Amino acid sequence: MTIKLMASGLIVAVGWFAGGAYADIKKQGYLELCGVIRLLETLKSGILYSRAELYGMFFDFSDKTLSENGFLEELNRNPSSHAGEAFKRAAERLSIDQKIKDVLTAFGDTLGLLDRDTQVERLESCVSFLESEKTSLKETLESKLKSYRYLGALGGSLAAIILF
Amino acid sequence: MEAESLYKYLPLRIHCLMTSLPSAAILTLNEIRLRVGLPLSLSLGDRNLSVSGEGKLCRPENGVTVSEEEMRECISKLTRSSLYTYDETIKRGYIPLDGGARAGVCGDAVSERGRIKAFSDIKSVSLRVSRLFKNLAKPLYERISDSGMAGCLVFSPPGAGKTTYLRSAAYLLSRGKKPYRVGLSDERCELFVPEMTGCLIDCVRGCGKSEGIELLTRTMSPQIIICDEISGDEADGIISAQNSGVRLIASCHGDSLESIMKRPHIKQMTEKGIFELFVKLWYDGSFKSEILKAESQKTAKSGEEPPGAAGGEMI
Repeated sequence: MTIKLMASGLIVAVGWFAGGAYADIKKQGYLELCGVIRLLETLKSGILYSRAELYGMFFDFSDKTLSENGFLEELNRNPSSHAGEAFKRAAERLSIDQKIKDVLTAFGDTLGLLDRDTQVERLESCVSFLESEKTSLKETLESKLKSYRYLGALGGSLAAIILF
Repeated sequence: MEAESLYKYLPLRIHCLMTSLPSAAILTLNEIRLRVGLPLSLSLGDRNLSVSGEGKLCRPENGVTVSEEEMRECISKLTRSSLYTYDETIKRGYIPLDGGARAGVCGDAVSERGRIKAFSDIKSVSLRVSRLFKNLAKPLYERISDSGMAGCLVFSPPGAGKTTYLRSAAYLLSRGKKPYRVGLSDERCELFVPEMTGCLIDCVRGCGKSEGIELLTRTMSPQIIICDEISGDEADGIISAQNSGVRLIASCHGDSLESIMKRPHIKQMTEKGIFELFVKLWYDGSFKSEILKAESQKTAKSGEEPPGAAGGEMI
Protein backbone atom coordinates (compact mmCIF):
# COMPACT_ATOMS: atom_id res chain seq x y z
CA MET A 1 0.00 0.00 0.00
CA THR A 2 2.81 2.33 0.95
CA ILE A 3 4.58 1.58 -2.28
CA LYS A 4 1.39 2.29 -4.25
CA LEU A 5 0.96 5.59 -2.42
CA MET A 6 4.57 6.54 -3.09
CA ALA A 7 4.25 5.59 -6.77
CA SER A 8 1.04 7.61 -7.05
CA GLY A 9 2.75 10.60 -5.46
CA LEU A 10 5.61 10.22 -7.90
CA ILE A 11 3.26 10.12 -10.89
CA VAL A 12 1.45 13.24 -9.67
CA ALA A 13 4.79 14.99 -9.15
CA VAL A 14 5.92 14.00 -12.65
CA GLY A 15 2.64 15.39 -14.03
CA TRP A 16 3.21 18.62 -12.08
CA PHE A 17 6.74 19.02 -13.42
CA ALA A 18 5.67 18.07 -16.97
CA GLY A 19 3.02 20.79 -16.82
CA GLY A 20 5.69 23.16 -15.53
CA ALA A 21 8.05 22.22 -18.36
CA TYR A 22 5.33 22.89 -20.93
CA ALA A 23 4.69 26.25 -19.29
CA ASP A 24 8.42 26.99 -19.47
CA ILE A 25 8.44 26.25 -23.22
CA LYS A 26 5.61 28.72 -23.68
CA LYS A 27 7.51 31.23 -21.56
CA GLN A 28 10.69 30.59 -23.55
CA GLY A 29 8.80 31.32 -26.78
CA TYR A 30 7.62 34.57 -25.26
CA LEU A 31 11.15 35.59 -24.23
CA GLU A 32 12.49 34.68 -27.68
CA LEU A 33 9.81 36.78 -29.30
CA CYS A 34 10.80 39.72 -27.07
CA GLY A 35 14.44 39.22 -28.12
CA VAL A 36 13.62 39.10 -31.84
CA ILE A 37 11.50 42.25 -31.54
CA ARG A 38 14.39 43.98 -29.81
CA LEU A 39 16.75 42.82 -32.58
CA LEU A 40 14.41 44.16 -35.26
CA GLU A 41 14.08 47.49 -33.44
CA THR A 42 17.88 47.68 -33.29
CA LEU A 43 18.09 46.99 -37.03
CA LYS A 44 15.50 49.66 -37.70
CA SER A 45 17.34 52.37 -35.79
CA GLY A 46 20.66 51.30 -37.37
CA ILE A 47 19.19 51.46 -40.86
CA LEU A 48 17.49 54.79 -40.24
CA TYR A 49 20.17 56.73 -38.43
CA SER A 50 23.63 55.30 -38.99
CA ARG A 51 23.14 53.22 -42.13
CA ALA A 52 25.06 50.51 -40.34
CA GLU A 53 25.63 47.21 -42.13
CA LEU A 54 23.50 44.25 -41.07
CA TYR A 55 26.32 41.96 -40.00
CA GLY A 56 27.81 44.73 -37.88
CA MET A 57 24.49 45.12 -36.12
CA PHE A 58 24.05 41.36 -35.74
CA PHE A 59 27.48 41.17 -34.17
CA ASP A 60 26.85 44.02 -31.72
CA PHE A 61 23.46 42.74 -30.61
CA SER A 62 23.20 40.68 -27.44
CA ASP A 63 20.31 38.89 -25.77
CA LYS A 64 20.47 36.15 -23.15
CA THR A 65 17.60 34.04 -24.49
CA LEU A 66 18.64 34.33 -28.14
CA SER A 67 22.19 33.52 -27.17
CA GLU A 68 21.22 30.41 -25.19
CA ASN A 69 19.08 28.94 -27.96
CA GLY A 70 21.81 29.41 -30.59
CA PHE A 71 19.94 32.09 -32.56
CA LEU A 72 22.75 34.64 -32.35
CA GLU A 73 25.41 32.03 -33.06
CA GLU A 74 23.57 31.02 -36.24
CA LEU A 75 23.07 34.66 -37.21
CA ASN A 76 26.81 35.37 -37.04
CA ARG A 77 28.03 32.00 -38.27
CA ASN A 78 29.00 33.02 -41.82
CA PRO A 79 29.27 36.79 -42.37
CA SER A 80 30.09 36.29 -46.05
CA SER A 81 26.68 34.75 -46.72
CA HIS A 82 23.54 36.76 -47.41
CA ALA A 83 22.30 38.31 -44.16
CA GLY A 84 18.66 37.50 -44.96
CA GLU A 85 19.54 33.81 -45.31
CA ALA A 86 21.40 33.92 -42.00
CA PHE A 87 18.32 35.47 -40.38
CA LYS A 88 16.11 32.71 -41.81
CA ARG A 89 18.46 30.00 -40.58
CA ALA A 90 18.57 31.59 -37.15
CA ALA A 91 14.76 31.82 -37.02
CA GLU A 92 14.66 28.01 -37.27
CA ARG A 93 16.31 27.89 -33.85
CA LEU A 94 13.33 29.57 -32.19
CA SER A 95 10.75 27.57 -30.27
CA ILE A 96 7.84 29.75 -31.35
CA ASP A 97 4.72 28.97 -33.38
CA GLN A 98 5.26 28.00 -37.01
CA LYS A 99 3.00 30.89 -38.05
CA ILE A 100 5.46 33.37 -36.52
CA LYS A 101 8.44 31.53 -38.03
CA ASP A 102 6.82 31.82 -41.47
CA VAL A 103 6.52 35.58 -41.06
CA LEU A 104 10.18 35.82 -40.00
CA THR A 105 11.23 33.68 -42.98
CA ALA A 106 9.32 35.92 -45.39
CA PHE A 107 10.94 38.93 -43.78
CA GLY A 108 14.38 37.29 -44.11
CA ASP A 109 13.79 36.98 -47.86
CA THR A 110 13.86 40.76 -48.20
CA LEU A 111 16.35 41.67 -45.48
CA GLY A 112 19.28 43.61 -46.93
CA LEU A 113 17.90 43.61 -50.47
CA LEU A 114 15.71 46.71 -50.31
CA ASP A 115 16.21 50.44 -50.28
CA ARG A 116 16.06 52.19 -46.93
CA ASP A 117 12.42 53.31 -46.96
CA THR A 118 11.04 49.98 -48.13
CA GLN A 119 13.32 48.07 -45.76
CA VAL A 120 12.11 50.13 -42.80
CA GLU A 121 8.50 49.66 -43.94
CA ARG A 122 8.94 45.87 -43.98
CA LEU A 123 10.65 45.96 -40.60
CA GLU A 124 7.82 47.97 -39.09
CA SER A 125 5.15 45.68 -40.44
CA CYS A 126 7.05 42.63 -39.16
CA VAL A 127 7.54 44.21 -35.72
CA SER A 128 3.88 45.21 -35.57
CA PHE A 129 2.85 41.59 -36.29
CA LEU A 130 5.30 40.26 -33.68
CA GLU A 131 4.08 42.79 -31.11
CA SER A 132 0.50 41.63 -31.55
CA GLU A 133 1.62 38.01 -31.18
CA LYS A 134 3.62 38.95 -28.11
CA THR A 135 0.60 40.63 -26.51
CA SER A 136 -1.64 37.64 -27.10
CA LEU A 137 1.09 35.26 -25.90
CA LYS A 138 1.53 37.32 -22.75
CA GLU A 139 -2.20 37.22 -22.00
CA THR A 140 -2.24 33.46 -22.56
CA LEU A 141 0.78 32.98 -20.33
CA GLU A 142 -0.63 35.05 -17.49
CA SER A 143 -3.85 33.14 -17.44
CA LYS A 144 -2.57 29.67 -18.20
CA LEU A 145 0.93 29.39 -16.77
CA LYS A 146 -0.30 28.00 -13.42
CA SER A 147 -3.01 26.00 -15.13
CA TYR A 148 -0.41 23.97 -17.01
CA ARG A 149 1.10 22.76 -13.69
CA TYR A 150 -2.31 22.00 -12.19
CA LEU A 151 -3.34 20.20 -15.35
CA GLY A 152 -0.12 18.23 -15.22
CA ALA A 153 -0.76 17.25 -11.58
CA LEU A 154 -4.36 16.36 -12.38
CA GLY A 155 -3.27 14.24 -15.28
CA GLY A 156 -0.77 12.50 -12.98
CA SER A 157 -3.52 11.84 -10.39
CA LEU A 158 -5.80 10.35 -13.03
CA ALA A 159 -3.02 8.14 -14.27
CA ALA A 160 -2.33 6.99 -10.67
CA ILE A 161 -6.03 6.18 -10.08
CA ILE A 162 -6.24 4.21 -13.34
CA LEU A 163 -3.03 2.33 -12.58
CA PHE A 164 -3.69 1.48 -8.94
CA MET B 1 43.12 46.85 -60.16
CA GLU B 2 43.15 43.25 -61.32
CA ALA B 3 40.00 41.89 -62.92
CA GLU B 4 40.25 38.90 -60.59
CA SER B 5 39.57 41.14 -57.61
CA LEU B 6 36.02 41.56 -58.92
CA TYR B 7 35.30 37.84 -58.84
CA LYS B 8 34.48 37.94 -55.13
CA TYR B 9 31.32 39.86 -56.02
CA LEU B 10 30.11 37.23 -58.48
CA PRO B 11 27.71 34.40 -57.71
CA LEU B 12 29.57 31.22 -56.84
CA ARG B 13 28.84 29.37 -60.12
CA ILE B 14 29.97 32.29 -62.27
CA HIS B 15 33.00 32.87 -60.06
CA CYS B 16 34.08 29.26 -60.72
CA LEU B 17 33.55 29.64 -64.49
CA MET B 18 35.55 32.89 -64.58
CA THR B 19 38.53 31.33 -62.86
CA SER B 20 38.77 28.78 -65.69
CA LEU B 21 39.25 31.47 -68.39
CA PRO B 22 42.72 31.95 -69.91
CA SER B 23 44.78 34.65 -68.20
CA ALA B 24 45.50 36.35 -71.57
CA ALA B 25 41.78 37.01 -71.94
CA ILE B 26 41.49 38.30 -68.39
CA LEU B 27 44.19 40.91 -69.13
CA THR B 28 41.89 42.56 -71.68
CA LEU B 29 38.74 42.23 -69.56
CA ASN B 30 37.08 45.62 -69.08
CA GLU B 31 33.69 44.66 -67.79
CA ILE B 32 31.62 41.75 -66.48
CA ARG B 33 27.90 42.18 -66.98
CA LEU B 34 25.09 40.18 -65.40
CA ARG B 35 21.48 40.43 -66.58
CA VAL B 36 18.63 38.43 -65.04
CA GLY B 37 17.47 35.68 -67.38
CA LEU B 38 20.09 36.59 -70.01
CA PRO B 39 23.60 35.36 -70.74
CA LEU B 40 26.55 36.61 -68.75
CA SER B 41 28.55 39.04 -70.89
CA LEU B 42 32.20 40.02 -70.83
CA SER B 43 33.78 43.01 -72.55
CA LEU B 44 37.23 41.98 -73.68
CA GLY B 45 38.85 44.89 -75.47
CA ASP B 46 36.19 45.92 -77.97
CA ARG B 47 34.56 42.48 -78.16
CA ASN B 48 31.49 41.33 -76.24
CA LEU B 49 31.69 37.65 -75.39
CA SER B 50 30.32 35.23 -72.82
CA VAL B 51 31.35 32.11 -70.93
CA SER B 52 29.93 28.68 -71.66
CA GLY B 53 28.94 26.14 -69.02
CA GLU B 54 32.32 24.47 -69.58
CA GLY B 55 34.17 27.67 -68.71
CA LYS B 56 35.19 28.58 -72.30
CA LEU B 57 34.80 31.91 -74.04
CA CYS B 58 31.88 31.83 -76.45
CA ARG B 59 29.37 33.99 -78.29
CA PRO B 60 26.83 35.68 -75.96
CA GLU B 61 23.90 33.50 -77.10
CA ASN B 62 25.78 30.35 -76.01
CA GLY B 63 26.79 31.74 -72.63
CA VAL B 64 25.51 30.75 -69.21
CA THR B 65 22.29 32.47 -68.15
CA VAL B 66 22.16 34.46 -64.93
CA SER B 67 19.26 33.44 -62.68
CA GLU B 68 17.28 35.72 -60.38
CA GLU B 69 18.75 33.93 -57.38
CA GLU B 70 22.28 34.58 -58.67
CA MET B 71 21.50 38.27 -59.17
CA ARG B 72 20.35 38.44 -55.54
CA GLU B 73 23.56 36.75 -54.48
CA CYS B 74 25.59 39.26 -56.48
CA ILE B 75 23.68 42.27 -55.09
CA SER B 76 24.09 40.91 -51.61
CA LYS B 77 27.85 40.59 -52.09
CA LEU B 78 28.17 44.03 -53.67
CA THR B 79 26.30 45.70 -50.83
CA ARG B 80 27.62 43.52 -48.00
CA SER B 81 24.02 42.37 -47.47
CA SER B 82 22.92 45.94 -46.78
CA LEU B 83 21.50 47.48 -49.94
CA TYR B 84 20.01 50.43 -48.03
CA THR B 85 23.50 51.73 -47.23
CA TYR B 86 23.97 52.43 -50.96
CA ASP B 87 20.65 54.24 -51.52
CA GLU B 88 22.29 57.48 -52.61
CA THR B 89 24.63 55.94 -55.17
CA ILE B 90 22.08 53.39 -56.43
CA LYS B 91 19.80 56.31 -57.29
CA ARG B 92 22.60 57.47 -59.55
CA GLY B 93 23.03 53.98 -60.98
CA TYR B 94 26.10 52.53 -59.31
CA ILE B 95 27.56 50.88 -56.23
CA PRO B 96 31.14 51.91 -55.36
CA LEU B 97 33.53 49.02 -54.73
CA ASP B 98 36.94 48.71 -53.15
CA GLY B 99 39.95 49.87 -55.13
CA GLY B 100 38.29 52.49 -57.34
CA ALA B 101 36.02 50.01 -59.10
CA ARG B 102 32.29 50.38 -59.39
CA ALA B 103 29.27 48.32 -60.27
CA GLY B 104 26.71 49.97 -62.52
CA VAL B 105 23.14 48.91 -61.75
CA CYS B 106 19.79 49.33 -63.46
CA GLY B 107 16.35 47.78 -63.39
CA ASP B 108 12.80 48.74 -62.47
CA ALA B 109 13.11 52.28 -61.19
CA VAL B 110 10.81 53.86 -58.61
CA SER B 111 10.51 57.56 -59.40
CA GLU B 112 9.39 60.44 -57.26
CA ARG B 113 8.89 63.91 -58.74
CA GLY B 114 10.67 62.91 -61.92
CA ARG B 115 13.77 61.62 -60.14
CA ILE B 116 14.78 58.03 -59.48
CA LYS B 117 14.16 57.25 -55.82
CA ALA B 118 15.24 53.61 -55.87
CA PHE B 119 15.16 50.43 -57.92
CA SER B 120 12.41 48.01 -56.93
CA ASP B 121 14.21 45.27 -58.81
CA ILE B 122 17.79 45.34 -60.04
CA LYS B 123 17.94 43.52 -63.38
CA SER B 124 21.45 44.34 -64.61
CA VAL B 125 24.81 44.72 -62.94
CA SER B 126 27.95 45.80 -64.72
CA LEU B 127 31.26 45.32 -62.92
CA ARG B 128 33.90 47.58 -64.46
CA VAL B 129 37.59 46.99 -64.04
CA SER B 130 39.41 50.20 -63.15
CA ARG B 131 42.94 50.17 -64.54
CA LEU B 132 45.75 52.65 -64.35
CA PHE B 133 47.62 53.06 -67.64
CA LYS B 134 50.37 55.29 -66.30
CA ASN B 135 51.42 56.91 -69.59
CA LEU B 136 48.13 57.15 -71.40
CA ALA B 137 47.87 60.92 -70.86
CA LYS B 138 51.57 61.58 -71.45
CA PRO B 139 51.04 63.95 -74.44
CA LEU B 140 48.70 66.08 -72.33
CA TYR B 141 51.10 66.01 -69.40
CA GLU B 142 54.00 67.07 -71.66
CA ARG B 143 51.90 69.79 -73.19
CA ILE B 144 51.00 71.18 -69.75
CA SER B 145 54.59 70.84 -68.52
CA ASP B 146 55.96 72.65 -71.58
CA SER B 147 53.33 75.32 -72.18
CA GLY B 148 51.96 75.82 -68.70
CA MET B 149 48.67 75.03 -67.03
CA ALA B 150 45.59 74.75 -69.19
CA GLY B 151 42.04 73.61 -68.61
CA CYS B 152 41.16 70.56 -70.64
CA LEU B 153 38.06 68.64 -71.68
CA VAL B 154 38.46 64.97 -72.60
CA PHE B 155 35.70 63.59 -74.82
CA SER B 156 34.90 60.27 -76.45
CA PRO B 157 32.03 57.89 -77.04
CA PRO B 158 31.26 55.61 -74.05
CA GLY B 159 33.86 52.95 -73.35
CA ALA B 160 36.76 54.66 -75.12
CA GLY B 161 38.72 55.32 -71.94
CA LYS B 162 37.81 58.78 -70.62
CA THR B 163 38.06 57.75 -66.99
CA THR B 164 41.25 55.78 -67.67
CA TYR B 165 42.72 58.86 -69.36
CA LEU B 166 41.78 61.12 -66.44
CA ARG B 167 43.31 58.65 -64.02
CA SER B 168 46.53 58.69 -66.00
CA ALA B 169 46.49 62.51 -66.15
CA ALA B 170 46.05 62.66 -62.36
CA TYR B 171 48.89 60.21 -61.89
CA LEU B 172 51.33 61.96 -64.25
CA LEU B 173 50.53 65.50 -63.14
CA SER B 174 50.87 64.65 -59.47
CA ARG B 175 53.94 62.47 -59.82
CA GLY B 176 55.77 63.75 -62.90
CA LYS B 177 59.10 65.58 -63.12
CA LYS B 178 57.34 68.69 -61.97
CA PRO B 179 54.59 67.44 -59.70
CA TYR B 180 51.44 69.50 -59.23
CA ARG B 181 48.92 69.43 -56.39
CA VAL B 182 45.96 67.62 -57.94
CA GLY B 183 42.43 67.61 -56.54
CA LEU B 184 40.10 64.81 -57.61
CA SER B 185 36.38 65.42 -57.45
CA ASP B 186 35.48 61.76 -57.62
CA GLU B 187 31.70 61.71 -57.51
CA ARG B 188 31.35 58.10 -58.58
CA CYS B 189 34.32 56.80 -56.57
CA GLU B 190 36.13 55.49 -59.65
CA LEU B 191 38.94 57.95 -60.37
CA PHE B 192 41.15 57.33 -57.39
CA VAL B 193 42.80 53.91 -57.39
CA PRO B 194 45.13 52.43 -54.77
CA GLU B 195 48.10 52.67 -57.18
CA MET B 196 47.91 56.46 -56.78
CA THR B 197 49.18 56.25 -53.23
CA GLY B 198 52.25 58.46 -53.04
CA CYS B 199 50.93 60.96 -55.60
CA LEU B 200 50.12 64.57 -54.64
CA ILE B 201 46.40 63.91 -54.88
CA ASP B 202 43.58 65.07 -52.63
CA CYS B 203 40.38 63.24 -53.37
CA VAL B 204 36.78 64.14 -52.55
CA ARG B 205 34.59 61.11 -53.09
CA GLY B 206 30.86 60.60 -53.28
CA CYS B 207 29.65 64.19 -53.51
CA GLY B 208 28.47 66.20 -56.51
CA LYS B 209 31.15 67.55 -58.86
CA SER B 210 30.45 71.24 -58.29
CA GLU B 211 30.39 70.74 -54.51
CA GLY B 212 33.58 68.70 -54.74
CA ILE B 213 35.32 71.34 -56.83
CA GLU B 214 34.21 74.08 -54.45
CA LEU B 215 35.37 72.11 -51.42
CA LEU B 216 38.76 71.33 -52.96
CA THR B 217 39.28 74.93 -54.07
CA ARG B 218 38.41 76.35 -50.67
CA THR B 219 40.22 73.93 -48.45
CA MET B 220 42.97 72.13 -50.35
CA SER B 221 44.34 74.82 -52.72
CA PRO B 222 44.99 72.44 -55.62
CA GLN B 223 46.75 73.56 -58.79
CA ILE B 224 44.61 71.32 -60.99
CA ILE B 225 41.22 69.77 -60.37
CA ILE B 226 40.15 66.67 -62.23
CA CYS B 227 36.59 65.40 -62.47
CA ASP B 228 34.70 62.96 -64.66
CA GLU B 229 31.61 63.32 -66.87
CA ILE B 230 30.37 66.87 -66.42
CA SER B 231 26.74 67.60 -67.26
CA GLY B 232 24.62 70.68 -67.83
CA ASP B 233 23.13 70.57 -64.32
CA GLU B 234 26.53 71.17 -62.78
CA ALA B 235 27.81 73.80 -65.20
CA ASP B 236 26.86 76.84 -63.11
CA GLY B 237 28.41 75.37 -59.97
CA ILE B 238 31.59 74.46 -61.82
CA ILE B 239 31.86 77.91 -63.44
CA SER B 240 31.36 79.62 -60.11
CA ALA B 241 33.91 77.37 -58.39
CA GLN B 242 36.32 77.85 -61.27
CA ASN B 243 36.47 81.60 -60.82
CA SER B 244 39.29 80.91 -58.41
CA GLY B 245 41.62 80.29 -61.35
CA VAL B 246 42.36 76.67 -60.57
CA ARG B 247 42.59 74.72 -63.83
CA LEU B 248 40.07 71.99 -64.55
CA ILE B 249 40.48 68.74 -66.43
CA ALA B 250 37.12 67.09 -67.04
CA SER B 251 35.44 64.66 -69.40
CA CYS B 252 32.17 64.30 -71.29
CA HIS B 253 30.56 62.00 -73.82
CA GLY B 254 30.88 62.99 -77.47
CA ASP B 255 32.43 61.86 -80.71
CA SER B 256 33.58 65.17 -82.19
CA LEU B 257 34.49 68.66 -81.06
CA GLU B 258 31.68 70.08 -83.20
CA SER B 259 29.08 67.88 -81.52
CA ILE B 260 30.19 68.67 -77.97
CA MET B 261 30.29 72.39 -78.78
CA LYS B 262 26.59 72.20 -79.58
CA ARG B 263 25.93 71.62 -75.88
CA PRO B 264 25.27 74.97 -74.23
CA HIS B 265 27.12 74.19 -71.00
CA ILE B 266 30.29 73.06 -72.81
CA LYS B 267 30.14 76.10 -75.08
CA GLN B 268 29.59 78.37 -72.08
CA MET B 269 32.50 76.88 -70.15
CA THR B 270 34.78 77.14 -73.18
CA GLU B 271 33.79 80.78 -73.69
CA LYS B 272 34.54 81.44 -70.04
CA GLY B 273 38.02 80.08 -70.66
CA ILE B 274 37.67 77.01 -68.47
CA PHE B 275 38.69 74.72 -71.32
CA GLU B 276 41.59 75.69 -73.54
CA LEU B 277 42.48 72.22 -74.72
CA PHE B 278 40.37 69.29 -75.85
CA VAL B 279 41.40 65.66 -75.99
CA LYS B 280 39.57 63.37 -78.36
CA LEU B 281 39.75 59.68 -77.47
CA TRP B 282 38.83 56.58 -79.39
CA TYR B 283 39.52 52.89 -79.17
CA ASP B 284 40.40 50.57 -82.04
CA GLY B 285 42.27 47.77 -80.38
CA SER B 286 44.25 50.25 -78.31
CA PHE B 287 43.53 53.66 -76.79
CA LYS B 288 44.07 56.55 -79.23
CA SER B 289 44.05 60.25 -78.42
CA GLU B 290 44.36 63.60 -80.15
CA ILE B 291 44.83 67.01 -78.54
CA LEU B 292 42.82 69.88 -80.02
CA LYS B 293 42.91 73.59 -79.23
CA ALA B 294 39.84 75.49 -78.21
CA GLU B 295 40.15 78.73 -80.19
CA SER B 296 40.87 77.49 -83.67
CA GLN B 297 39.31 74.07 -83.08
CA LYS B 298 42.11 72.79 -85.23
CA THR B 299 44.33 69.90 -84.39
CA ALA B 300 47.16 71.25 -82.34
CA LYS B 301 48.98 68.03 -81.94
CA SER B 302 48.25 65.41 -84.51
CA GLY B 303 50.08 62.97 -86.67
CA GLU B 304 51.90 61.63 -83.67
CA GLU B 305 51.52 58.10 -82.61
CA PRO B 306 48.89 58.37 -79.91
CA PRO B 307 49.48 56.38 -76.79
CA GLY B 308 47.95 52.96 -77.00
CA ALA B 309 47.43 50.33 -74.36
CA ALA B 310 50.76 48.88 -75.32
CA GLY B 311 52.41 52.29 -75.05
CA GLY B 312 50.87 53.02 -71.68
CA GLU B 313 52.36 51.19 -68.84
CA MET B 314 49.69 49.36 -66.98
CA ILE B 315 50.05 48.53 -63.33
